[in-house]
Amino acid sequence: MGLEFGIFYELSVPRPWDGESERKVYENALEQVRLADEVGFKHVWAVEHHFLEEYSHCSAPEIFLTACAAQTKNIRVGHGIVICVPEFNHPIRIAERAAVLDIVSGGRLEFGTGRSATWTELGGFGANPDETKNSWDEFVHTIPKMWTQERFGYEGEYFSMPTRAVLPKPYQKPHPPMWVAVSTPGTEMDAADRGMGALGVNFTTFKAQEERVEEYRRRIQNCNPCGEVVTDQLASANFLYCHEDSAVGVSTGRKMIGNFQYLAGQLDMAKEAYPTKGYPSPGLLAATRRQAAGPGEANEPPEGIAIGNPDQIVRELKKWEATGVDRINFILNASEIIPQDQVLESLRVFGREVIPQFEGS
Amino acid sequence: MPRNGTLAVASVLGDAPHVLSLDQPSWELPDATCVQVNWEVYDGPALELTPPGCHPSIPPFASFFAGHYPESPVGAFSLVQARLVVRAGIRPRALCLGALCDNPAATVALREHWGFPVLDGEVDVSVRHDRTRVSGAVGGREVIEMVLPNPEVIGGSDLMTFDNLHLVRLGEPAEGAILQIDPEYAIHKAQRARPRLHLPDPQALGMRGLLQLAAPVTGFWFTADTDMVPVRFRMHPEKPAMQGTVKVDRAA
Repeated sequence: MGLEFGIFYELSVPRPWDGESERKVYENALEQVRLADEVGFKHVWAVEHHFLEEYSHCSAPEIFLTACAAQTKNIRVGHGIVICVPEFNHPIRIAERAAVLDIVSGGRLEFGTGRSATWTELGGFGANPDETKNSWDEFVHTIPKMWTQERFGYEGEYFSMPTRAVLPKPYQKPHPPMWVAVSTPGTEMDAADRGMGALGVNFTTFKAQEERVEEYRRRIQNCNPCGEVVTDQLASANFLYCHEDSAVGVSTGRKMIGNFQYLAGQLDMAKEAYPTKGYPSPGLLAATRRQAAGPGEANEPPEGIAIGNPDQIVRELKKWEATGVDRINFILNASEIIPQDQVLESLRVFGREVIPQFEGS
Repeated sequence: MPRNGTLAVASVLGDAPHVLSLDQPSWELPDATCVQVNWEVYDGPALELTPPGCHPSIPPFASFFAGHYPESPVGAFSLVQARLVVRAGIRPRALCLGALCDNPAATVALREHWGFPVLDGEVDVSVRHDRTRVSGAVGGREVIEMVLPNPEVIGGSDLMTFDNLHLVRLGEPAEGAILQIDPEYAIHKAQRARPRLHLPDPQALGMRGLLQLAAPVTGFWFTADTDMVPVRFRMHPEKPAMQGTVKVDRAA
């Protein structure tokens, strides 16, 4: 099956803020999602971030995704991700909210998991950066059981509960596909070992990417699944701005990427404030941002980045397809630097001229 | 876009170190023992300490840094600094607000060559098996104490230090500038602990009573070979870092 395409939301809100700033960003995003559903995008993902001024005002993704589901017909709705750290979210509440979202969306939930990447957030909730990998692991092994077992009880390291019926159950049976965010090279193998999809594979050379995809596919064959569904899928993150005029496409896309990069650079990454083996990389799509911000040639997108005219974008995406990646999720804007009508037109042109050239879509 | 600092540069420049030229020496500083304590601070006051060319970090935090350098061209010295982590563009940097040094010759050299806002004082960095402690005093009056009790071993690659930014009067006639000081560290060993921090004099170490401690992040100490090298980058204190940063041309 060929490449599938999705869209990925941080919901960044530029200063100065007024009473309408955040509402406008959410409304624009929902309008984009409705259009994306019409033109052939398969997935919409929303982050869970807290306290990240301007960069992301998306702290309740299950609510935003519910709105997305209610306003669309086919597009699948994904947590990109839900934070599996006890100080942020109790796993019972994660299981419950996800099940409700799966029900009201008619079985369209993709369940992405993660553990946060910034001191801004970890410190804000009083979470221990040394422990988040372990808590994530405990959550991804127990949440599927809450979904599939009539009653569930558990004694664990990061939470315990007496036996209860966790309700409702998700609509998809046995449960929604499970993913984990990967921001450090090699951790997609954590996904493979647990039978999970790898969301946001770190940017590297196409050759190295191909090797990692091959290793992921090999390892997942012998996985010890954390749930009852093996999601053998790799998704990559990218930026998208598609315009018939190459110069406009590339320059506008670069402006968006520069904005995104600038906002992300203001945040206190976990590693920056708190030294721990648990967070070896700078996080927040660091490698993708670096690659996207590379100098490149005038009127040409940086290698692998989906900005420019349709032909240029097809060329770069075909390279991704050749590495074996299954899906690409696009960031469409950053702090509304691109006017809404231009974002919508980019989606239309992409849907009309790029998507048909990929079999999976 | 991100907020800019609101430091009134002109009002503080008169007290800033005067660096006559960027033709600094290179110092090798082997077998240094360094201590870094990261501590969140309150937002509003931190903004007032941040130059307009920089952004506050989110959330703002201070990074107190001390080092004992047993070998240098001016002899052994210990240095303790109060620093505020800011953003120069997208790069995290530690704005040095003030410092104390226990070696008068080092004080002069650090101030005049690299623009450290440093004064003479008593500085002690002591490492024991169950705690590491730094104290800084002026005329016997303690102005800073950092303690790392019961530290645990961490990897050198796990930790992150920050390049310094120093607000200075540069050249003659002097103009305001920010110098980036970027030592290298070859780390031998490191340990981390939940820190204790005591700042009995909020006016000391350049904090001007504005740096208000909010919540501890972490502390660590490490041993390393490090250096002090000629300045490579300078910034305009009031222009955005992306536009106001220039590489120092050593060939000229």
